Amino acid sequence: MALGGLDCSSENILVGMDSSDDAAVYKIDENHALVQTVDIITPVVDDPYMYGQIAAANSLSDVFAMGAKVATAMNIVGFDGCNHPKEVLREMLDGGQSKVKECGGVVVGGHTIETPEMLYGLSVSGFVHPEKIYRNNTPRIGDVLILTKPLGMGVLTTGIKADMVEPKTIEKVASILSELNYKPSLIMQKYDVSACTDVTGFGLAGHAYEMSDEKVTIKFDFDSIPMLDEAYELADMGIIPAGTYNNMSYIKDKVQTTKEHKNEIFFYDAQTSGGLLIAVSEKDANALVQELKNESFLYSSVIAQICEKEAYPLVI
Amino acid sequence: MKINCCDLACPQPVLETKKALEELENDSLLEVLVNAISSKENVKRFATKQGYESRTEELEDGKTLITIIKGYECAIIPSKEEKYLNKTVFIKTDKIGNGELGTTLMKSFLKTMLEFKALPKNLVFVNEGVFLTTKDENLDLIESLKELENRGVKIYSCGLCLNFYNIPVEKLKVGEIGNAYDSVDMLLNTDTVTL
Repeated sequence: MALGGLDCSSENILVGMDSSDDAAVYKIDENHALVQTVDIITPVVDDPYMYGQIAAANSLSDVFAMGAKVATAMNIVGFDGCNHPKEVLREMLDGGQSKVKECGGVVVGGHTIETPEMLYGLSVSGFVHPEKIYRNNTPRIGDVLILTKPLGMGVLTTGIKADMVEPKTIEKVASILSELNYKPSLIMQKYDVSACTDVTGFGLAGHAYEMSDEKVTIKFDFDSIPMLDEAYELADMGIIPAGTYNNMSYIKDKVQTTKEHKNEIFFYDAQTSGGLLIAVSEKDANALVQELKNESFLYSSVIAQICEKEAYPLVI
Repeated sequence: MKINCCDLACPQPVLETKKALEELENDSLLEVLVNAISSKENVKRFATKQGYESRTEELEDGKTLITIIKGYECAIIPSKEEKYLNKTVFIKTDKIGNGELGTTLMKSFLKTMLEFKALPKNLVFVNEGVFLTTKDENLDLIESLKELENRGVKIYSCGLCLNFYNIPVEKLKVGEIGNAYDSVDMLLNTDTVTL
């Protein structure tokens, strides 16, 4: 996004820098377009295999949000070789590879440099039909929004860094973070979906704002937004990442608050490897939620409605 | 107590605040200096959650000073910590060195102490030192000691020593009678300067 001023136009770029989508789409021919994305994160859990899985799930997510299929991935690694044995690197990469495999992709290489803090992520290439791209800013008025993973991951991963989270909860958080958005992406393609994005660093508020594109107003039913209960206590204790506050200060004046919400901060919580945010026709919504739940995406919920544009793009 | 949490990433400022509050005795203040909105909000949230009152003061350069009150606010002497050094001055004689010069030096040392903002916590007079707090000829010095006492410095004169020199307790003109236990406690638990 910082590169927004660059001129990268080309007739084959279907989705590029001018849009707020995180992945780019390049048209190859009538039936094929290349989807490219890259993302890296610092460790969110101690276990290297788990960290690898989470970083990979996070990197792959943009491809799924566009309704594309993963083809190849390359590892991008910053490794602190002074403080960690080589086995840690091996486990991390194994974790990453397991996730690429899970969605039918192949890891074809990568690059590692020495860094004082560990970094890991993937550069991912995928394919999509040029006319079947799911964009993040094309929701239809009357549609409803579905979120497939609970919020609170920013708070919880900060709590994990502070050593304030029980092992049982860490396991739960890690399993949610490492869950691919692959299946939800496949499932949504069977329904009447008008827009899709994944909820990551900008939080639900930031990504929903991008979705609104200031052309519609998205009205949330705040109490139906899935959140992890385990995060409430940590948030009360002030274990909230700086990114979450940044999101809040950046987006707050786009949000109309109709009543006080005790856990409003979660609306802005910066997520790692968050769920898909899917705009779907109201008549398909229940069936889509049910099918997501059947595939063990148990937190999936209808959380908002796309309405005619009002004074504020977002209402909670 | 004051801690500087500037330039620390989340959740470090909260963890530092938590640690400091645990160490802090009741009825005292913790001042936390931060320079990020996230740190400010998080530390305030933490304090509130723990049941402490807090107030914030915006300083220059985008810094914020958060004052957290541990205990009952009215019982707190404002910035008590900063007025006193964690020091005990242990005075074994009424002179610094010998003769008349020694007497003059001791008196002027103790009087000069009044000119300092941060004072020692305790003055302990032992052996010939007790002459300084009892003898009529030292009245001008005793006035200075009284002023130190008014500013909160604790002044002790050794009871055993008064006995030894046959000085009746009524002669003690400033401070209180000290005992061996308190004296040793001060010597061990504060920095001690011996005169």
